[in-house]
Amino acid sequence: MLATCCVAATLTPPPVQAAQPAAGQKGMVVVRDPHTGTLRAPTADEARALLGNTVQRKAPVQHVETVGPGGSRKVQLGRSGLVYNIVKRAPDGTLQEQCVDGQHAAHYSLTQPALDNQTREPHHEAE
Amino acid sequence: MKPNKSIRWMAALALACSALASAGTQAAATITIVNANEPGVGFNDPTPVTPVGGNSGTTLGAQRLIAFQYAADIWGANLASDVPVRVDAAFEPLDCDATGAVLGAAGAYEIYSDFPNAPRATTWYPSALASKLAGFDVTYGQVPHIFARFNARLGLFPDCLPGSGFYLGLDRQFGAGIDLVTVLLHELGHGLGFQTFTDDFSGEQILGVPSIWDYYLLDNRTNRSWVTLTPAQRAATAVSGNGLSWNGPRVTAAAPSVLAPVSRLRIEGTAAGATAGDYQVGDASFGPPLATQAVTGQLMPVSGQSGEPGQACMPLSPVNALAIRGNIALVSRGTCAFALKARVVQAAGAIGMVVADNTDGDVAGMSGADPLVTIPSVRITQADGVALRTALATRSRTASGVVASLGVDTSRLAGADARGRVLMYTPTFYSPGSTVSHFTTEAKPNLLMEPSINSDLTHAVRPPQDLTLPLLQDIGW
Repeated sequence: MLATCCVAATLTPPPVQAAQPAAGQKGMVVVRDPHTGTLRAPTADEARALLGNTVQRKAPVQHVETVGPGGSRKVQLGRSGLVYNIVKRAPDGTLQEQCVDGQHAAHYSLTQPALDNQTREPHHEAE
Repeated sequence: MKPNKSIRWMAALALACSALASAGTQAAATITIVNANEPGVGFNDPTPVTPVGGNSGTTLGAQRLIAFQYAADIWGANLASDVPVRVDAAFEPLDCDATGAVLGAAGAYEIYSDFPNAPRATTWYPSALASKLAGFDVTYGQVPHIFARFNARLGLFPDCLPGSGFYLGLDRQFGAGIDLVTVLLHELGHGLGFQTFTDDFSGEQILGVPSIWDYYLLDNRTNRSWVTLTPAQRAATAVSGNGLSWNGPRVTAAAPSVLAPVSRLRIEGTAAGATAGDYQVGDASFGPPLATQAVTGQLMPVSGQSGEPGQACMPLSPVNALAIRGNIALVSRGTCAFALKARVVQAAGAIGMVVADNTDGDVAGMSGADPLVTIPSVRITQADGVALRTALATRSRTASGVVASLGVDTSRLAGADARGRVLMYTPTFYSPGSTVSHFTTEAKPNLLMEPSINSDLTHAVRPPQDLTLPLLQDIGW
């Protein structure tokens, strides 16, 4: 049986990091179908267009390892471990959504013009 | 993403919502949502709202927290761990403008290797999984296992995708909104371990150490595990086009109960010649799905009308209608929606439709909806379309001698390789963050951890609807 409760928690604050390009992050993208108005996965072509044909190399991240008791090893990814979910509205009013890797790719994706669905998406296209 | 100066750790105000398992039942995990918002914003936004879709909250902040808790409860009910998982969560302003926005982001906050009871030495595990395997919390100082940030302004302001906000209901009746619970399930899935920490662009591992994920990625063309490849080889497989499979026993065992047989176009007949054989097709989201009972008929092309190349975007001429009546129509992509083409050829009496692409590239599916479409449709590549039209060049007005069957290949699963292993997303172009760490988009039905959220997802994370839980179990959950 599943029970739900609310409790108070006291945690050590994680270091707040400045918004900087990061590696290892991922996100998600959807598109709104122009004919049905529903959100759906972009086709390969739409995804390519969303992210641009130019490969966006992730900005390098300096990973720092900490060795703990007993020899365990730790790397704090912080915000660089995040997976980003992006959405954009195309000229035809459709929404285009995708998971993208890292803040750098997320920002890049947002700066690229969204395409209407006559242009394409990664796996399913409307026309 | 805009720098956010308002992020402060509010330990004293932290609120945790947990999913717990009672003794004597299937093991579960406690997932704690730690509210990192300041008073008055995010989870604490006092803006009055009306309860919606099973979400009883009466303020915007409360509804957000309830939706988070709901998603955490789903994961908590499916996972097994004696160590509570802490999710540091907040709604805050994230990058957005009038036409685009970051919905949110989540992921593992720390990764560990060589912890007590680690199944594999010198291997990175996300901290939530490492804690479960160790039997105690491996983090120092109670830092979060998962870090999550979602956009507090989405759809609520003219400069942040106005009109397209989160749907905070729990019932999937999201309409034109963005279903927050589904997005949360996906993003929390990444945070729990559905990702590699190896750079999928360069193939480089963090500090030369592989991720537990990497042991289950298999180059299905060389039958080699990702961990045995060089960085350059790993990077190449990430853009290989179905070249990576998940080689985990739980996913492979569950796949037949989740995935449908792959659709197939079979061409045969006296005039088929070299075109005889099976073709890879893209499925349509409209009309009936292809089934074991194949729809079979003469393949007949729709000829051009008024200068167009047989696109079937307008009512067919009498000659075209006669040709496809009782047969399967071959039409060209372009000008109008796929669903409209289906309506046009169906109205003329066709029993099925094959759409030939008008651009080069891999086979792709056809979206759209039209409840009045009752015939099956598939899409083929431009090259295949050219070959079939050539074979159809010699035909009578009502028959071609080329017989098409729209059915399924029961020996293959949609989204799996020939040996039944589920494919990972490895498009032939680099998609930052989408490649390698998601299931293929060829899965049928759609899966939670594909690179994009599909509207038909059910909030389920386990078979028979989904394969995410088996995958997490493969890596140690």
